Amino acid sequence: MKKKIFTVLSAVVLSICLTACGSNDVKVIENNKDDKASESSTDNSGETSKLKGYVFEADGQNGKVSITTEIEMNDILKQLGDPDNYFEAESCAFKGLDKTYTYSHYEIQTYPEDKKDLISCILFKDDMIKTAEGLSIGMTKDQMEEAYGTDYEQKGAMYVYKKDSSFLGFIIQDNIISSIQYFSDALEQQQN
Amino acid sequence: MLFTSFEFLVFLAVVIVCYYIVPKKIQWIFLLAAGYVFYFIASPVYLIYIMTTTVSVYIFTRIIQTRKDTFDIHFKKIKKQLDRQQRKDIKSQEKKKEFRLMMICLLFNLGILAVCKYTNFAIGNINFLLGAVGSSKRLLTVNMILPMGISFYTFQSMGYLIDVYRGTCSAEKNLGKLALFVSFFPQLVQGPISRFNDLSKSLFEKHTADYNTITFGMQRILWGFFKKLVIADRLLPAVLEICGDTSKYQGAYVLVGMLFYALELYADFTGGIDIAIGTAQTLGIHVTENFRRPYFSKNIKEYWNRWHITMGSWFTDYIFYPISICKPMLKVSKFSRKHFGEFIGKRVPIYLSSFAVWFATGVWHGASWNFIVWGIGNFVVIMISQECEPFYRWFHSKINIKDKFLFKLFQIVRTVLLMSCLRMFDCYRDVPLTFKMFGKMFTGFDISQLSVSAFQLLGLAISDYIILFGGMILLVAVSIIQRKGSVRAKIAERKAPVRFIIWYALFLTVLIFGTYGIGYDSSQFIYNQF
Amino acid sequence: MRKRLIGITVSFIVAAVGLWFLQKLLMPKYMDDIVEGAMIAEYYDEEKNHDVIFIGDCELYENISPAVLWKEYGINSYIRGSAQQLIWQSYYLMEETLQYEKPKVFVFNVLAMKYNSPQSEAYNRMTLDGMKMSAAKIKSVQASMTEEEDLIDYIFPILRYHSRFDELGKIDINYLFKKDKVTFNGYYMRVDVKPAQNIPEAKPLGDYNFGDTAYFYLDKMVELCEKNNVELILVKAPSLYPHWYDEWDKQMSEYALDHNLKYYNFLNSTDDIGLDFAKDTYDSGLHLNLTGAEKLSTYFGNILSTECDLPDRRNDKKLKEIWEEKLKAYDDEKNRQYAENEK
Repeated sequence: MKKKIFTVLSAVVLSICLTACGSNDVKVIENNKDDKASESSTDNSGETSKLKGYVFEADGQNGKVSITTEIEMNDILKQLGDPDNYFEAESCAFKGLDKTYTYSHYEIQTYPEDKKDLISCILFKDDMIKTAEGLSIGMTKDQMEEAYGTDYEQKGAMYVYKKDSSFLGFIIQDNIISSIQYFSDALEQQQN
Repeated sequence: MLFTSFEFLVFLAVVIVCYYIVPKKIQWIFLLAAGYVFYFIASPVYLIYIMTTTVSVYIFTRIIQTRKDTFDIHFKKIKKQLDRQQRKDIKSQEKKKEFRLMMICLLFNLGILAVCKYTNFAIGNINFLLGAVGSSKRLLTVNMILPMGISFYTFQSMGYLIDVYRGTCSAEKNLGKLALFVSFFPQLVQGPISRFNDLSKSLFEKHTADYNTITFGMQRILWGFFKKLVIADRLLPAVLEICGDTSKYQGAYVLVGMLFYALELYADFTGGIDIAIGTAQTLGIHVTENFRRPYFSKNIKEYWNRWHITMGSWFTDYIFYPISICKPMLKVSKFSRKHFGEFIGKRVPIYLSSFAVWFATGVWHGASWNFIVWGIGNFVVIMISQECEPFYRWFHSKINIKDKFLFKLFQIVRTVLLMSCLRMFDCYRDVPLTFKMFGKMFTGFDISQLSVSAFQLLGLAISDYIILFGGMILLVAVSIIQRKGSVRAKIAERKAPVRFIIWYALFLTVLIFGTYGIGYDSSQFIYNQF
Repeated sequence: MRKRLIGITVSFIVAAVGLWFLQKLLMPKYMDDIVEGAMIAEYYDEEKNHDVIFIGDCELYENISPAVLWKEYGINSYIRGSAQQLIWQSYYLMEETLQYEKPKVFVFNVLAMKYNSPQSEAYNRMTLDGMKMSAAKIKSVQASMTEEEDLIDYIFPILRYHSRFDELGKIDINYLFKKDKVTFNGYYMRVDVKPAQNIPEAKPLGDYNFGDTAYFYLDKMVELCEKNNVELILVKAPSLYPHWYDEWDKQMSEYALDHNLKYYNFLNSTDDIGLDFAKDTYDSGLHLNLTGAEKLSTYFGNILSTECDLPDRRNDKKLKEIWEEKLKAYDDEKNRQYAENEK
């Protein structure tokens, strides 16, 4: 009996030794099944429940409007009302327009995809508005790091934070935030 | 390297050409190298695993074989001096020692498989239990490597190990040849699971390029591509859509999803196996068939004799039989006969062994409760149908419809539906959800849900449905013709222009209607994951 | 054995011809709405002895009219333009063009400097599919591919376009072998007007420096032109959007100075050109319409003929004949579009 236990134990230990050595650094083969499952699971944290990534809260016609990149502009437009200024640019060769909606304190840009207009960028125009985390133009880099941490990627004067598939960029000049922009993957690629 | 990738086609072309160019003596070495390159491209780390399995199996089978051989010689010498009881004792002592050796190797390799595949599943369950007892402690899940095809090559080599132990095949003396058996690339990723005695015959032989063998192999590959690219992958988005959004797709949709999945899985899995067997054939190597038109089965038992045959027979030979005749089981059998009477006593061992087989089959398919429940589901259905056997016999003796076409058709449809129901565990996220959706299929069934426009919302266009329908007709037609022998052989008898038109048409069908390239998500073969 | 070999050979030939035909059928013809995809291929039908070849994106093919350059200055020019042509694509087009002819001047529009990495498969296709198979094409494909793309799909486009089987229409049959001209020596004519207004302010960038890859290919262009004794001229078309930053302009000016190149930013000379963005653009300032393009061509033609010493070739009999026909088509199309606009 002892021998048997020894046999079993030694085999198990051996195999664990072998499997343990190669973990971590190699990519995990993910089970497709899990992907299927996770697609349907929804994130339900907090008020801005359905929006993923960095969210900007704008003043709409009837209270706050949560906006983030890669969502449809049509719905947002209804809540925000008519912009002060509207500009559209035809994409070269293709049907569909890149659109820019300018409101008093910010500007929203969209790009066409499958007959929809998706938000590619939200740009702060002045220091009258804040990000959901309380940052506005004119604040300092320290305040930015306090609010968002230091896990950013720096591109020139731009400090970019990434959350899900959205990006939040701060341009800092002389330690002061001079521009705040939310942007999506679609735009991120173009600027590289 | 996915079978349906361009890289694989290039790899295959190079392998075939070189295989017939290199000296015949080293053809098998070349194949081994090709297998390792194939594996290396997937990930260099994987090689360590497959080599470990190979070497460990080699060492232990060699030791067992040597023991056997020396024992036989020794036994022959001393045989005459011993009485019957002594002979028996010596033999069983020797067998025990061999058994111990085999077990070390078996547990070692199954251990690797278990740790790689089931660690996170185990951790997940432990965490669930911790939560259930109110503890706030949780174990962290770990990033495990899951080497490509580990379930397949582990099972294949364990089968060999047990065969050597049983004496049904003698241990291979050449480590390289054994390595080739374990890593033969066409069947590395998704089977079939071959037996050493079957495969080794043609695997190590010298092969001369033969027009018919090579073209037959290529034709089979093309047919596999058709099933996988034209049918399975085209259908996949609809299956994902239905199973992914359970709040939207209920009632009649569940039925649609279930049937779509039945077709998708069939086309995907058998297509992959066609490519595997066809690939081997182009190299002149014969691999055991894995399917025999399973959807024509008239009952579940028959279905499992015709679907994923090599896996089923593996479980039967290496789990079912050993368990049902092992000593503890005999004791249990005796005990239950004594205490519960003949009726139950007779059934206990069969039930227990079958349960073990189906539980293991479920676990083998994946580290999740879905598969385990799926396995047990199969067990339950098979046992029920077995128990109903006397009733069926009585029924058929009264009403003579057994040989009527319509009744046969009914049986076939019933079997397909039954298997499809069980397979729902494959589609939905977890076990409770699967049961819920299964219920929804009956409670919320409303045929009017299924309008033409509703079908278009599933991510497929009308043209997709037309192609699928055409593809399905071709599948069924081929299966029917196949009952009377090889379709390829029948085509080969035709005149050259006819042959050309048939194969060129199939090629163009795959090329144009295949779901590949930009715009289509190229999807993994389902069975690569096991 | 011999019979079998013949059989196999014949089958392969029949199969290849069938595939070639199917490929032709399935490839997009770019003849109805997205005509930009047909531009690159048109060059091959031309008589190849141009003085000036423009290579670049829409800011060239919608803003410069070779017809005007011919009419007013006797400059024989051609635009090898395509939508969102990336700088490496421009470079390899230059390489390829030099296989056919040796112009005196290459003109490159520098807006493409802002792209440093492959962008979109659809645009890649419009530039690359039209090119004839050559080493330059392969290199261009390799430089342009996004992650989802494969070289093999460019060599055998049927692998890319097979999924078009359900989009096939009359157009695919009509233009199976012969295509209409969509440009006038590369110029894409538009006569409609949409005034420039409400152009949003430029978005501040974190980093105004052009990327390394962009500079790498600009360097290569300079080198290639030097080697072949072709003058390279950099221009920035007078398009108001996308925004051309001062920081970008400075980099280009410095680069031109360092490399002894001519660089013209036409945004600085809109008044001299006489551009009126209320009338001379058809899409709010992104691209010029015919009147705008003709004004710019007159202005630039003057620079080219005086500063680059380009001869007036209007006396060349053969060229004259070719151009007479072209100008007629040009005027016909102009009149057709104006007439249609008035409806």
